[in-house]
Amino acid sequence: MKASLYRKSVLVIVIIVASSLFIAFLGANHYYHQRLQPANDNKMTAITKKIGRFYQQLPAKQRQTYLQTIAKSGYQIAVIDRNGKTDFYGRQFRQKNFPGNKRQTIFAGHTYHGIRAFRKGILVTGFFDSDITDTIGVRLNRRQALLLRTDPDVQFGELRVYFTVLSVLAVILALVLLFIALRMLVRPILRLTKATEKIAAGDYQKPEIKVPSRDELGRLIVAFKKMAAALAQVEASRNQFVADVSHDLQSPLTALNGYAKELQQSDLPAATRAEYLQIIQQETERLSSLTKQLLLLASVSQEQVLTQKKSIQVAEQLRQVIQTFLFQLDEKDLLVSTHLVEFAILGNADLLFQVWQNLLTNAIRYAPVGSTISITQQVKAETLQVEISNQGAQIPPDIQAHLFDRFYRADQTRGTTHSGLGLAIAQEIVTIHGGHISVKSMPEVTTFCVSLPLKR
Amino acid sequence: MQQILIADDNTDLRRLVRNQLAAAGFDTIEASDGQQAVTLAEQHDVVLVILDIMMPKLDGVAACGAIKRAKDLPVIMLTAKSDIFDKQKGFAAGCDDYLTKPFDERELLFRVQALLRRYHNLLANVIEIGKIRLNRQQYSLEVAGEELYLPLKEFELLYQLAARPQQIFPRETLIQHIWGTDYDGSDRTVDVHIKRLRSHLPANSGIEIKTMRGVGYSLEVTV
Repeated sequence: MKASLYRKSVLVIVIIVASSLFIAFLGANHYYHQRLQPANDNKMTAITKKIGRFYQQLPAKQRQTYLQTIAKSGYQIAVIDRNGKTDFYGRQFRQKNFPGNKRQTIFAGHTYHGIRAFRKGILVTGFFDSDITDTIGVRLNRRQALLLRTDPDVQFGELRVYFTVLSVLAVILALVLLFIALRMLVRPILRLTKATEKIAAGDYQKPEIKVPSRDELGRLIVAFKKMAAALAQVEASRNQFVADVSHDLQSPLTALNGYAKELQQSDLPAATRAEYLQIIQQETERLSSLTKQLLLLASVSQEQVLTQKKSIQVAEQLRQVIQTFLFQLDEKDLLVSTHLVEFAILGNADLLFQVWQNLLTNAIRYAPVGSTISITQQVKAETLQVEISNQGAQIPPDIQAHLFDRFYRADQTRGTTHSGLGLAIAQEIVTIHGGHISVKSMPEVTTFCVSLPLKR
Repeated sequence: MQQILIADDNTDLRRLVRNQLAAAGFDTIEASDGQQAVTLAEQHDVVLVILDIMMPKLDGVAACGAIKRAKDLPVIMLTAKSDIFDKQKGFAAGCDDYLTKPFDERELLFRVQALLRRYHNLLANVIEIGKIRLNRQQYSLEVAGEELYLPLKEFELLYQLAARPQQIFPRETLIQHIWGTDYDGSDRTVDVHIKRLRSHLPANSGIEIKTMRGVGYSLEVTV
């Protein structure tokens, strides 16, 4: 049998109803024994004594008729003599045997409080038991004693049925309604399960589940839909990524293959040979940098959250990065002007170093020969802002919008050796550090600004 | 001739580096693993070591540490791994500079020469003059909370002039010191660089580069 939430809930509810009834019954019984039974005993003692006194005042002939009349109005009566011979009036006792020692106590002049003392176990009131010991007993005269109890069948038999029907109906109705409600509760879960199975099978189409309400389940379904949408987007961008990667790997490989074949011809002029070799060298460089960047991007993308955070002196990192670019700076006769402040942030030093490296690479690549690159740091509103700007040409707004896309290259010219991943990687790294990266390009000055939350 | 030790397990890469260094007038010896590199560095009179980071027996980082403990030699690391991840380790082991594969032959020479210049300058690597501070260790010019990184030739020019303020340096002397004795360009190169250097000097530097007509250049403190 398949495990079912519905079946389980039904079982739980039945168990709950049954045990509530049981416990309620125990409680009511306890209350009956503690409070109602003594009260009933007192009431009955008074009635029995009155009946007894009136019986004595009546002439002997009328006494039996009197007791019969009383019995009919809802009492069970026994008149017992010293030897234990008993006359019964009203409905028969089910247990008729009255113990001798108790009889003697009554004839000794003591009132017998059988109702107060009556016990039939924790689950039974004994109220409907019709037992001769469950009576009040008084001495009538030297020979006779009177035993009396109410006959609940006569007095409130219908009420008993009424309450039984009421409780049974209430329980049945409650169960039925609960089952229906449960079915309605479980149904969206069943639908959700189906939708989940679809996604697990790789179908990222938008799941069509109605949101039943704004309760927890409704929120779950809304969240589920959001997740499904996010997954669909991840899937789409992954496909795009794979397409981009294979294109960017294929094109340099194709070029390599083609030029290598050309070079196999022996009759090429030396100048052409040199040109082809240079192309081959450029393309391998490009492949090399692309694979490097792809590996880095893969490792950064996997790291959704920063696992190992350390305190990083950003100024020191920036100085180090400049050192690594001394050659490239010198090649283009670039001056780097820096304004650094010593502030620490929390993060992954290796990854952050990559951000500065990528930004400076770009700044150098698009800087005019002999111009100035400036790197400034400032603290603003709990963030450390690092601005790297060059004096390159203004980036058109439509290109700005795509700058941080993977594989986007501002100059689509062939022979460029960079991968178009640098800014995408930088953005990814800055994002997992809880910061953000932006670009501001004007004629003469283009600035990339990275803001990172300060170490708290 | 100055001798450079190249340690790399890849024969082709060693040949490449050897050719490039030979073309620039360096003598080379080669090691194919880390242990051999340490032994050769101890036995031979080398001026600089180029170490690949991935090598059999003893990796570049460990070899660098061993060499640094035995001898005070400048070390350049080569790494094929995704950039930065090894750098921290390399620097921690005491390496002085590094290069990421694939590298430009000119960059290799540039770094070798810069490192040699820095390493064998027994004078202090810091000069304070006027309101500026020149740090030859990182090629920076510090002034009033800012750090400037000049193109190398300009820095070397400024450093040379700042080492002896008021002294007049003829163009030929400057060329010999900065471009090397076998430089065959014209004296005008110095003028071009001086011109750029002047434009790059901040207004509040407290120094001035004076032209001594027909003779050369000198640096004067103006504060």
